[in-house]
Amino acid sequence: MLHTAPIHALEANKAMWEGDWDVYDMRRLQIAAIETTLDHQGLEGGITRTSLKDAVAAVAAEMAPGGPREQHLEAAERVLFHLLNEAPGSDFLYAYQENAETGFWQRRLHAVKVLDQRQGEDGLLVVRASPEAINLLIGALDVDIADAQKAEERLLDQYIREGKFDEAQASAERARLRSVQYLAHITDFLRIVRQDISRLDWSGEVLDEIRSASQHLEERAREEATMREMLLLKLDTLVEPEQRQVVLNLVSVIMNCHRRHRSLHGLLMRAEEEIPAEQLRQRFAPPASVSSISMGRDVLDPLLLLPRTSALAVTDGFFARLLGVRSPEMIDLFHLFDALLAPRRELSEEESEIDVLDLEDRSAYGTFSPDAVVAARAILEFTQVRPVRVSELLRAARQSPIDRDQVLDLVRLSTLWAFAPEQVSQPELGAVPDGMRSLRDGSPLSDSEYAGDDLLVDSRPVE
Amino acid sequence: MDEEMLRQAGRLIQFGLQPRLYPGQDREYKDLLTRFRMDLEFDETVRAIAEGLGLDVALASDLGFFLAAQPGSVFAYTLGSFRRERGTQASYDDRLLHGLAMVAIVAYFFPNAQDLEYERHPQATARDVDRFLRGVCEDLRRKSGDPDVLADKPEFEQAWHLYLRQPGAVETPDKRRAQRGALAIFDRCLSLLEERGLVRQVKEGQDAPYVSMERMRIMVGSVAGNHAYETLARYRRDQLEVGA
Repeated sequence: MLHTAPIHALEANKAMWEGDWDVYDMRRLQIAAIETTLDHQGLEGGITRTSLKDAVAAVAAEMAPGGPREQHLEAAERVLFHLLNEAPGSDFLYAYQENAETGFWQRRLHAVKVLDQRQGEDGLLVVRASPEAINLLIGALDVDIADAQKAEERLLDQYIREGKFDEAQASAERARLRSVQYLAHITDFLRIVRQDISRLDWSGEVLDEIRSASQHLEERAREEATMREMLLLKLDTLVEPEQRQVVLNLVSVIMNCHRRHRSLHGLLMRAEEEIPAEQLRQRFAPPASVSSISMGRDVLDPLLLLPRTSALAVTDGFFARLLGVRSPEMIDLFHLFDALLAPRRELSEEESEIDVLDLEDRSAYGTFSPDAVVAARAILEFTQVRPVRVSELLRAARQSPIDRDQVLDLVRLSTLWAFAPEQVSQPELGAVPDGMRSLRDGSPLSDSEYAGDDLLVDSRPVE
Repeated sequence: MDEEMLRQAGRLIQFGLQPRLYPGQDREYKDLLTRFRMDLEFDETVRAIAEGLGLDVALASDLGFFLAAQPGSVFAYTLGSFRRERGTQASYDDRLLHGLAMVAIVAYFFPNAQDLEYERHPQATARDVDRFLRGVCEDLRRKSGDPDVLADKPEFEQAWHLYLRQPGAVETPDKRRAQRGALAIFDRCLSLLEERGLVRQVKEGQDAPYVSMERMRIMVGSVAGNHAYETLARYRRDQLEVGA
């Protein structure tokens, strides 16, 4: 029950904020944030905080149409700030009483996490939903994830057999969430194993766990395959478009689970190979495990009480170890930093003038002279009488009395254009007769400058 | 010794020296990391070469190959060089203030031991950390009953006095933050941490929040935190012995 507490807290708090927030249902916005996160959550990657904020703001905009965009974004920001516990010390901790075995009531604190951020292998931070957050959506209690997933798929299977597609739809949705949950569970587990196996294992339990996870996934994959087949068979018997749509949706949800499971399976197979090596390595070289030092109480407080000379020795050592290593590329960054620190350049009062360059006007024919265009046109017009070979046209162009090079270029380019005419870039020069086309019949071009096919150019009207 | 393996080991160390490169961005980096984790001989080779260069392997994970410099190594980066390279005189107090600021930033991000155990990405602005450190110092002042510093022995002044003497934000006439004052110290420290891939700025502009990256948690948790803790413990022991 405690898991829903964070969601209610924000809705209850909203009355205390400045401004009018009644238009937004904070509970719905939070659920939307969790759902969007889950949609993007996979083996790698996920949604960044910025995109998530935009998505939540879009939902907020639907709640309060006509409201200013800044306010929607502000609402989304508050939702994320709350769910990600971004304020210091704002973790969701709830006290409850428990009747211990001794018969006395004891006060305990329960920590709930809804969303948190993870760093991906490419260094990007992405938002991820916790298993508790998924339970929150399913409305379920803490149970073994693998069992819950199995149960959900059995139920789904039964609904499909009985043709109860609406129930099946809801059940499939839950199965999908379970598969996201299972994926998160396994990847977290593998990550800890990689960093410090001793935290979990001294007796080979990790490998057992991985094997049973692989087995679980194989079962899921088999069941998903049968369900998909069954659904496709049903699809053939259905005629109503609505029902067909429901079935198609079901198939796509199941495929979604299936893809997730397959990628996770690959990861597990790799892990099964890697972990024995990991065990060996970590045993030989005990990893510098992330140890429990309280930076506030154990370091900062006593440091501030030290006399200045001793304090400097501590901070010097801390600094050097925190920053790791200096790499040669840093030198550039230092200069950049200096440049940033340099005093701002003087801004002159007057607007600076941009020199107007004395450019030549572009003629209607581009760089070609009008005379060359006329000459080229005259040559190409031969093709209106009979098909002419490119070699012949080039020869004629070379004999042109004026602007020989330009005429040659125009003729050559026009015939090439006519091989695959593009309506959008009809040459504007007017050198090409209407309907001109070039055909290739395989005879090679023998020319002093150009090589290729000796195209046959034809401008006679097509019958 | 296998020449190819030595070359590969050198490559991996080179990747480790680039704090803002991530294995997800470079196939070779990723493959070498996997090899380091799978192949014991390669692991030993890499560590031996690193040691010769004055480097320790802090951690190798999916997120990168994290190296720490041993004191005196050419790769070591000290407070003094940080301040000198920025063209300031690395005065005693100036160095101490920047050192305190670094510890405070880390303590703000990861105040408790359990905060270092699992991945999290808290946010902070220069102003947040300044307020936090000021609060801690004020607290110490109250507890100590605020005795005045002995005029003839300034070196016995406790570190918190120095911080409380700093003006907060000093502004230039055009509303930008001046290079003096506590906030400027945090600005400089945070931007250095960003250059070295330990934090990342979330938004642009003055007072924009920074979020801590895994590198920070790993470097504090595996090397820097322990070192500070041990040095402090040694001072405490020395003090007790002197007292006795």
